[in-house]
Amino acid sequence: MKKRIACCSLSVFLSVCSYGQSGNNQREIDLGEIKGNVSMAYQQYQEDSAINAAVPDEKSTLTAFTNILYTRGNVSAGIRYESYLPAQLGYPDRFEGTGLGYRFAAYSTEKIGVTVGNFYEQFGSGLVFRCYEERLLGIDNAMDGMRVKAHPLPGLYVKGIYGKQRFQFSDGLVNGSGLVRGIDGELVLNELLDSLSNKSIDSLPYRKLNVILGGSFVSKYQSDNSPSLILPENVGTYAGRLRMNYGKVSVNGEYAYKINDPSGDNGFVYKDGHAALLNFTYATKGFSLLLDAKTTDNFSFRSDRTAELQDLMINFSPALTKQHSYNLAATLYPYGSRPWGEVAYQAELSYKVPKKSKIGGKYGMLLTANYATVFGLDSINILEDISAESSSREGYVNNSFFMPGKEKYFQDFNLEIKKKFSKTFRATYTYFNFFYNNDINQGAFDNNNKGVKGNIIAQIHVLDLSKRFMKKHNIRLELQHLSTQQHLGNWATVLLEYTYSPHWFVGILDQYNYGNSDAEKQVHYLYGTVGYVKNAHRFTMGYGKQRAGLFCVGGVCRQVPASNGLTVTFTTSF
Amino acid sequence: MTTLKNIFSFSLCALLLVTCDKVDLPNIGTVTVNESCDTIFSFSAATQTHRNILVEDFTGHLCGNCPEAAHELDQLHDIYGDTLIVISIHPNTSFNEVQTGTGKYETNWKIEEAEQIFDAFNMPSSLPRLMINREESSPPFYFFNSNQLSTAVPSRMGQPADFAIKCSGNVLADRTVCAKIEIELLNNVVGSFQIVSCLVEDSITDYQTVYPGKHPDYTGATDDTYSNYVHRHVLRDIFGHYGVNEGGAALSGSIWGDAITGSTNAGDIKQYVISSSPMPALWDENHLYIVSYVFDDATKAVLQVIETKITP
Repeated sequence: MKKRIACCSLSVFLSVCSYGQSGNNQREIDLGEIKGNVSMAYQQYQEDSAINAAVPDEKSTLTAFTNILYTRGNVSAGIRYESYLPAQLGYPDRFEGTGLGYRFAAYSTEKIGVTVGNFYEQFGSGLVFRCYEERLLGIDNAMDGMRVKAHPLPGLYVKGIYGKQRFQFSDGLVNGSGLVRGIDGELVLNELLDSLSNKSIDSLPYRKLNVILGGSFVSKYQSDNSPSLILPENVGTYAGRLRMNYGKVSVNGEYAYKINDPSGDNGFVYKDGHAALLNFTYATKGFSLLLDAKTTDNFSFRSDRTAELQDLMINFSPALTKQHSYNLAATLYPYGSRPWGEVAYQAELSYKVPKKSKIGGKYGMLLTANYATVFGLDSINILEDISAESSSREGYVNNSFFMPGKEKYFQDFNLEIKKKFSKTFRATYTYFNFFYNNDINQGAFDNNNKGVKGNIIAQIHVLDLSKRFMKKHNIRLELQHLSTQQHLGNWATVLLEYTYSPHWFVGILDQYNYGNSDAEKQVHYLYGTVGYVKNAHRFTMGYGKQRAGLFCVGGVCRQVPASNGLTVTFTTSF
Repeated sequence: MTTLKNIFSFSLCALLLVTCDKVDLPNIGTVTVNESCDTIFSFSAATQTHRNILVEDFTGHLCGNCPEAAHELDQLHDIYGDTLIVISIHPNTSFNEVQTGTGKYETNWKIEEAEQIFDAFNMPSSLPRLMINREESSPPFYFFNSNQLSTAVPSRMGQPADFAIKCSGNVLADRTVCAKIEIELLNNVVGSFQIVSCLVEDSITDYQTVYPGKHPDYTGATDDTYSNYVHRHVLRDIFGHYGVNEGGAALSGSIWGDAITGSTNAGDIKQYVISSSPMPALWDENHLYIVSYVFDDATKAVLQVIETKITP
């Protein structure tokens, strides 16, 4: 039997080869296309007692990813080879070894698409389902199973998913035990009406108004292994959404509901969960206004009820706070959203002072003000013995939807002024004012690595100057200052970057905690980088101290320890 | 196209028919006061006139340095016997991560009360850390390191006690543990005092990371993983109580326990009846202990502690 299979395989291979050869001479044979990319990061760690630098036993780490994607017509297939030898510090410690972490095959036409294996997907804004990869945080909750996408009618788009979620990596992909299945439908009303009308699209009266309706249902299964509780094995959640835009105005909204889902996140209470997200945008030339509101009440949804941190999350709760890029603002007091209960609001106003006006000067000036605030829920605990047989274990009652509770979790006000002074010189000034409730957020630690109690108020000023000269040369200088009476006191940061286009860049960063109450901890975190870029290849090398802190992307955070040493990264695509 | 629509209609219905399990009354069984609890005792123990020592060992199954503290405590226990009482507390840190589906480190040691204690005393996240009688090591820090045990424990031994504790009880047919805690004031004392009782399971064999040289009984594993590690004195639960001297509705156990009310003069006797939920089948009755301790509410210092085995 084995011989027979081998013979068949050989003959198929030979026939493909010969066909390909004749194709070179006579006609093009589509053998498909292979694309890919590689990224690797090597880090070497050194002891540094001044900053409590962490050093793994191996002294160095290598984290590498290689994606290979094959496409031929409607068919595609791909793999990702991952290496954590071991994973860099700050990554989840259940990533180890080397092997395949992602593999899939897919068939896709205009009307239908089928994927088997791993895939990433999102329903609506992600309130009920989002699986994604955020490599910088070590987050990967890819589905492993099957996905079907269909476009059965004009304007109607349907997606169905069924599978398990990636949980860890141990010389290969390891999934969590829970099952996740769901369906999402989206109706683009304009497309549907267009298809029913015989008139030309542009002449139709409703064309200025675009309406999209959507709905999702997601259910998870995990067996009940509790000796003391009757746990729901199937937990469902559903959501409805509406997206409209009319001219310069755009409105989005999504509401989601979850049935009883006792878990480690909510202390095994059986209360239903709710979440809602509202967004309003008005944008015209030189002016924009953004208003956001969000509430989540008991809305953490995982495929394993005992999972923690960012593990096995089925849904996603977007943070309604601005994501900052300047070092001190981005890493000292960032906010991570709390799906188990919060009410958040955000407003952002952007105005461009016109060119050739008195204030705007020759090139104009952009002003952006952003205000975001987050509160706890307005709720009351139910006073009862939740272990009594008569208890429904509801836990608490939420008094009002979308109204803030008494406790403020976070506030961020920031104002940015961006001005171009000449063709070669531009400057940006940004002011930040943070309120950070560390009893809730728990991201600030003192010199003894103990959580700081109470609220932290911090103000940050940043001046970012950029000057280009002789066409290929650019120098950028960042001056940052943070002042606070709490936590570790004041910080000053200087970043100097020099770019020699198109290939070379070099930078040096110094973060100085000069306000630390412990003189020994008034450390300069000095870090230098040099890099080379050519076509799709990018090589960087950095050396120095890196401060411990919270690293956040989109409201999802991970604590990163302090380190000192060499970092080498390389990325390329082909 | 019609076939496609039918397939999707069918799929949609099939998925929506996947039921959501709505649970109205989730608790299995009821914790009730059994009158035999304070009349027929299958186990009993009492303190002497000196203070016993309570060491709370914050640990984790992925903490490779933690077995060093456990080994140190074993050695001290060999010297001081029942006057040294240990509780191993597994807080909710990465050291206690549950590695579901890997075949190892799959046990969830964490309980909510462990995390509450860890938070209440501001323990650092690096383990092992220890509390000795909940006394401050160097104010305001409550934690000790394992290398301080050999001097900190002996220096606290043999001090005279203001409280004596007696614990008597039995295990009921439904595997509920029921006990009466009797506190006797040995001297006049002034202040606010609390009594806490918890359930501790000893000698559980399960996975543990042990770094080389951190425990002499575990050597040689290239990945520092030992499936035969014996976990000692694991905190399982904190008891709810039934009020003083009588039954009544059970209250959820709190890490701060119950206030010792009324006068606190020499000769006063206070009684508490406590009861657990039915114990899970995995808990080995033969290795379970009730640990009861009295502490000063102002300083949090533990003034007396007793460990009582629940099987004869």
